[in-house]
Amino acid sequence: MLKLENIDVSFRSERQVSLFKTSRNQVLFDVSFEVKKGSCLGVLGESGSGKSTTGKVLCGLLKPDSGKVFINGEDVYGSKAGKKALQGAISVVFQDYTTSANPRFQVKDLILEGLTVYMRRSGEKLNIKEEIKLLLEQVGLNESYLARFPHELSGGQLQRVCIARAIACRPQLILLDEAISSLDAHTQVQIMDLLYELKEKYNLTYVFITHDLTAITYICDEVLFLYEGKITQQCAVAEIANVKDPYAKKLLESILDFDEHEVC
Amino acid sequence: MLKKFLENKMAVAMTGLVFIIALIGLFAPVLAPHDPYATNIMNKFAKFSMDYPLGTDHLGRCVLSRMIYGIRPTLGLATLTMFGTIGLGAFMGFMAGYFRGWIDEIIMRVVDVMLSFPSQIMVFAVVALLGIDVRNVILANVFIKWAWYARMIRAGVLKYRDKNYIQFSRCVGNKESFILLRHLLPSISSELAVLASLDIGWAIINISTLSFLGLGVQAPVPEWGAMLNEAKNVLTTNPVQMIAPGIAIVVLVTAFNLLGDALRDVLDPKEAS
Repeated sequence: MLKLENIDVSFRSERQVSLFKTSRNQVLFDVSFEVKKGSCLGVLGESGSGKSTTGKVLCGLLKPDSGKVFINGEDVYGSKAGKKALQGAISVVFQDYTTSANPRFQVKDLILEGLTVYMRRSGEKLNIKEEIKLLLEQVGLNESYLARFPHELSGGQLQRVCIARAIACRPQLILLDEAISSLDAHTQVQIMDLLYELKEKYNLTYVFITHDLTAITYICDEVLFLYEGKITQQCAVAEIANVKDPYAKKLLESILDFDEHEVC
Repeated sequence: MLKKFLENKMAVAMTGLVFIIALIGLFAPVLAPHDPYATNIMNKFAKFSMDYPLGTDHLGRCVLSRMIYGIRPTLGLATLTMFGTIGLGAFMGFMAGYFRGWIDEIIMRVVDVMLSFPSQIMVFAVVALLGIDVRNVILANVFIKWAWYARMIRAGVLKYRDKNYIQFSRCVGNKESFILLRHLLPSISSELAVLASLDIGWAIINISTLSFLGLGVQAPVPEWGAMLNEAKNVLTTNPVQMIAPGIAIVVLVTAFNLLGDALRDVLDPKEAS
């Protein structure tokens, strides 16, 4: 469904050595992978490994230096139509819920934004009030939250609203960029259960970017290890125990060690 | 927001002061004791009295009446200038900050050129070029000052354009106009309000300065700067003439500057309420 081919991304470095040549920091090296419809792909890596950059590239916000992104066979960065196709198919939930909601919007306005996008795209007229209520119910919140502002919600509640906003535009694919990482463990499980439920209901595809291996084993079918901008290993979650790549192994071991340590 | 505003004594006091001055100007025909244009040469440089609370000027006109009528051009023109500069500056700043790329380059280089000249000299040059007229003074002020605001507002836009809620809008393909008008504009409105209140103080001084130099509002229209100009001719013999318009300008400009300061505190979300 979504396919990345040989993606290279670099940023202009802060410190320019030469006056005429611009030196660049390469962040992603030859990244290629495919997301299958209805699956959940986990992208795992430590901070600075290029996870979020990959996310930006695949949701159409960052044009790669070279390489192509295809959505249902259409080249995203090649044409306006490709970009439209991607925008119609994708939605996103960010890590930092404090900045992912406009502080001046009420909950209903936040969700309305997703709905208007959908209505404009499909030309379908929806009963806005009912629809917002329905969406809120689906993420486990009731009507009393409609008129609240983001700062009047807890982190978990606000992240639920962000998920409601993301599904309001009826996407096929949702990019979850560290969507649960800044929540506490208990809320994390709740949100992941919610995500799983929604995935079944709407037949969604997820790309789940995280540094948290446990979360990946909980929700994903497939996992991708990213290390210093390169994909080191891609495998099914079931086979995660016998990964070959040294870096992936190290990552796994460190977590296992930590778990054992906790037991003692 | 309103509660925070009402809690800030300085903001309330200064808004009140400006509001009262504006009201006095609005109801000038009712409040002024005399016709501001009526001359009585026999009664020139009269002392303060019940009949002429602030005395009379060199043509025997009532200074208080002229002060009250003078609010209209002083405050009115300054407001007009403010809206002009902020409007043009905000538009340019938005374009530059939001679209980046070559639009940003062009606008910012023009801004650099504008800012490299001392603004007062440029205002004189423009007024001299276009002819002495109030409209030209406003045009000159807008033309010179927008660059500074464009730069400030661009900085504000840059701060917010990569916030996650805008990233979301962009990712799902929402309209640019929605992002600009519903997300960005409200976000920087606080900065705009502060800039506007500071700018209006600057505009009052500038219009008064130009009138003082004889380039702005022309006699016999009562304007505070022009009144100072007339008073300056008799500085040695009747220094009292300077006091009323001088103090009035200082008070009004200070009020706007303090209001700008207070607004910054009110609109800053980090400031504890």
